[in-house]
Amino acid sequence: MNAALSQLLLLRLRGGVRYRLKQFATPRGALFLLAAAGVVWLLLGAGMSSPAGGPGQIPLEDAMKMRSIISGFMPLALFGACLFTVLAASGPALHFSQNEINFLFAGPFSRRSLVIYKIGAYFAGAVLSAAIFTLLMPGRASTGFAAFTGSLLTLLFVQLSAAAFNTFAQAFAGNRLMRARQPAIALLLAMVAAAMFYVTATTDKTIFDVLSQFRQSWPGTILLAPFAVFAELFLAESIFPDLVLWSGCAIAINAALLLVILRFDGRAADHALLASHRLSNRWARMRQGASFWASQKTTGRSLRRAPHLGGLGPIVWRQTINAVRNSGRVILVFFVVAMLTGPVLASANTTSGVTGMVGLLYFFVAFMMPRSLVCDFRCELGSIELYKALPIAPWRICAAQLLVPVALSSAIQLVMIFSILIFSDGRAPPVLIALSVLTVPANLLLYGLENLIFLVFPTKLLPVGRADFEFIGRTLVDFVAKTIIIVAAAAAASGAGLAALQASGRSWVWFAVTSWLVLSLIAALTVPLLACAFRRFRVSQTIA
Amino acid sequence: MIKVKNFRKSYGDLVAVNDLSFEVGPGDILGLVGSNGAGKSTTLRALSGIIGPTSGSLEIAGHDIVAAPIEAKQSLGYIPDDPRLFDTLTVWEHLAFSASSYGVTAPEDKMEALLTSFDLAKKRDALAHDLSRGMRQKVAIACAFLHDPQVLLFDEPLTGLDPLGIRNIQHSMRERARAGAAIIISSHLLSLVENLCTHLLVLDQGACRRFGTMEEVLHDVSRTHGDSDLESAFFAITADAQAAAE
Repeated sequence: MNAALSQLLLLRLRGGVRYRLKQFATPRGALFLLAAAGVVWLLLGAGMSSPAGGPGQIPLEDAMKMRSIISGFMPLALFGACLFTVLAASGPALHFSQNEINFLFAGPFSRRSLVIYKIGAYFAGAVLSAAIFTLLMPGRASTGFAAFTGSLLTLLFVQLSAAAFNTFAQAFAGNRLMRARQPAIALLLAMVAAAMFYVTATTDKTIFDVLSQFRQSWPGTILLAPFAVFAELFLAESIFPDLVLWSGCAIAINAALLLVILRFDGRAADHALLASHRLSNRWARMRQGASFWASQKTTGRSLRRAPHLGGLGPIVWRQTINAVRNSGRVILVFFVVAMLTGPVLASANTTSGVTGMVGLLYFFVAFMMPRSLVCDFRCELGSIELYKALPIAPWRICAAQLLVPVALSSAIQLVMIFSILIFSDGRAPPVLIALSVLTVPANLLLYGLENLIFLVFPTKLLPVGRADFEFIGRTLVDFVAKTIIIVAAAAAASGAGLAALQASGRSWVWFAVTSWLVLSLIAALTVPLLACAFRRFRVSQTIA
Repeated sequence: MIKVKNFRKSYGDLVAVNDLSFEVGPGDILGLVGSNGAGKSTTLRALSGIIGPTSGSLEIAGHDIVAAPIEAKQSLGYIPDDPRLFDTLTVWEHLAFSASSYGVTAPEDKMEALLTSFDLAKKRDALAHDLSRGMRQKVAIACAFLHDPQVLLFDEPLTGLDPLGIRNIQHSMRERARAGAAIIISSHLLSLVENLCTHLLVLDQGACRRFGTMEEVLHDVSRTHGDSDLESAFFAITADAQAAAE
């Protein structure tokens, strides 16, 4: 690699470490680091603790099961990831940020040096990620060294295969075959999904049985052979010959992908630059709260009139437009996921029971959705001064901010609950029906808390680079705090409901109505709290 | 020093710059003016090798930017309109990286001098993400000056600078032109262009509407339109171009 570019990599690595250390030197950074470290410790503890073996061991039976899962499903997962890349290939093959374009593209470096520099940067990042993975998976691979080598080469494969596909797609952007790839793959995937659904619906087999059978069939073996190499890395029993042999194969595959990138990069340079520019803009918008799936369109049909509705109208109108333009795709994806939850759970013949199902739903509702559906104060950090200048009472502004995410989340959750109820053949737990009644107040409480925390402690919505432990810690602390408040509110509502049940002579209607009212009251309390936080918010505040 | 011949850049059906030809000699300062979307930044980005031309040739110090990019860029300093720096690097580290990129030998004295002349000495160890826009602009200019390039390309160089910074940078540009550098400045600040530039190129909708020495262009326009300052000349030239297009 070019000496100056190597120096830049080292400087940036050192700068990254310096930045993290500076973060952890503040009380808040230290607190969030501790939170992240605590969770990692718990995960490590869970991975290492064993009733049968000593520390660092997991029971033999579990280890065998894990090996069988890695061997069976990892090639399929990698194949799926590659297929998705081919289907969606539109981003830059190698993303150069705007500062890299300004400094390096105008500098005395050959294009090949820049590509190698970028791969070097990916490699450095992959080493760090592989080290973290290795720490988190003791006992799941044969040895720590195999886990590290496997993680490193697999991460590089994922990066390089995506870059190679994108380079190839951009080099032949006008080609008829390239244009036809998306409908062809989408059709293929739809046919595979329909066939799998048919098999699981008409036989006793689960999705996993069907996938496993395909993996072991001769077409599956041939198709998945390059991907199986990476699974074998994790499962290598000895350094020689197993690990050496499979590492050699993995390095050869990665080298071939690198050659493809270097071969076609020259033809794709213009497209790559435009795509990098678009991605940089997208990241900039995401830092302001837009979702990753936000529309790339540069024009939109202007909606001419916003209803006033006592001051609520303009803000609801604005956030609805925000939701459609910034999160339109993610809303669509969530609705599709919600609709498919029932058939997928039925096909998978899940045995996780009520607790597992409710836990999964809670994670989806309280963690994934609020992070993706950002159409409230959290995407308006730069516009809060505009809101403050509006001739509308703060509580109305705050209530209006919550309306759109609450309505959208509730609609998605109701679709999901009804999908589960319809496909469960009457086996779904009754708690789901109770949850469907409580979605609106629960979402009001959830998004009220999200916005309250944001206005009191404004923060970035995305991690900065890899290993942003402050961000991870903050996310975990937020999640735990929200969960404690939601559980307390649910307990209070249930307590009031039980009291009504006793007082009314065991009338479940009174239980439901009282619980709903108490939860709604608690949720509504977030609006004046939010209004107070909004009034106190300093617009000059820099984001943490 | 800078030779552009029949340069054309298109993105699909959109023609950003069409059939542009001009030359800038040693000691000349060319002002590149035009409305938003006229093709100024595209021209500078093509000259700096960031984007490739669709057709035509671009030469920097005798080297074609496509055929011999490294040799051409070795003689080039480019200051973009948006001075994005590496967030986690200090001001000094930016200069150290630039020195290493261009193979500047024993660069420390030069780096110190540039920090002093751009009023950055106190910010030597500041991280880029803590700098104001003006400061970042100064760092980008200092990095571009470090290897004493024969060709300097400035895209909106004075945005965000304080009055002292503006004066220092104008002074540096004149000094470098006097020392033989060929400079192109793209700017909307017509008074700056009129004060600083020896030559003028008016771009409109990707095409060259007028090119020549400042005196020639102003004199030429004043003969037909009566006014003799650059602002009036610019509006007269672009209005003529629009009338011709309609």
